[in-house]
Amino acid sequence: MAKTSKEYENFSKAMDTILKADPAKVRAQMEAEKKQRKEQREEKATSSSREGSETSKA
Amino acid sequence: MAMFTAYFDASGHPVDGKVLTVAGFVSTVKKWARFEGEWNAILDSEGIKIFHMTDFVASHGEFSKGWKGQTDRRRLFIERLAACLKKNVNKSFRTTLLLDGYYAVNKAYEVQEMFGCPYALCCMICSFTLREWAARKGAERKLLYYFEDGDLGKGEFEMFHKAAYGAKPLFLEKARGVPLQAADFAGWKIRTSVQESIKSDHTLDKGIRLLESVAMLKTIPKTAGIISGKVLDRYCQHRRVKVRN
Repeated sequence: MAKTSKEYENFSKAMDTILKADPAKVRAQMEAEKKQRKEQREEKATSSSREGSETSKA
Repeated sequence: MAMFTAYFDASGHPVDGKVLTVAGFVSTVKKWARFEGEWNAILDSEGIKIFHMTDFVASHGEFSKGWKGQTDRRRLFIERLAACLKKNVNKSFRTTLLLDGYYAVNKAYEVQEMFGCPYALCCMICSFTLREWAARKGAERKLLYYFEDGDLGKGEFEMFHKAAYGAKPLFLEKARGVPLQAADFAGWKIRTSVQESIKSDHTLDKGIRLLESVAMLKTIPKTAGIISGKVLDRYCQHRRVKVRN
């Protein structure tokens, strides 16, 4: 019982500190960043393939 | 002030298993360099390149020839590795999660949404206790810590770590970080001893054997915790974690 109580105190202290920031907000931010990176990669791939085809035409 | 580095590894399967442990060690950069030389010399002396605890236990991989049933050779080898660890690390940090409890409380409350998946939760507690230790020593800005790369739940851990500390955690492959082999060794030892101790057929004899098997780790200063369903349930009630619909 005393051990569980100590474990609870430690866990509670850790979680109260760790969870100060809202993980849901960070998740949304990370997803947005991921989406942005994907779009940038796609845009880059499209523009380089366009450049490639223009070069071969020339 | 010395520069500190810590290395962590997870042991156990977060879905099929009963117990998940994340364990690791912190030491100074100078002592880790010495550790690496000594650890690799022990492995070299036995013709081993990388120490994997699961291979050692099952006499697989690099341990498939000449290790099975060789009790004295095995004991001596583990004792040498443990002595090398004890000599070169400052402290051990480990968190063990009892998975049945986690999943039971997760059915009643939004545990995963709040605390993350089992791996993320254990890694976050280890990060927290390590950082607290560093803060007490005034070494927060002289601390780097790495987790072994490739575990299930890495993305969630990154998210929670970024939320709490403003940056993603660092990851390393086992082949690139010799101290990760020591973390693997400790994680396996702790997880299996907790796993055995919660089995219904646990006896005093078994308990003594388990204590003996982790005796070498017990001499290293530690911050260790076990998160049970009771602990999670109590926190959810006290902090009014959202009840699952």
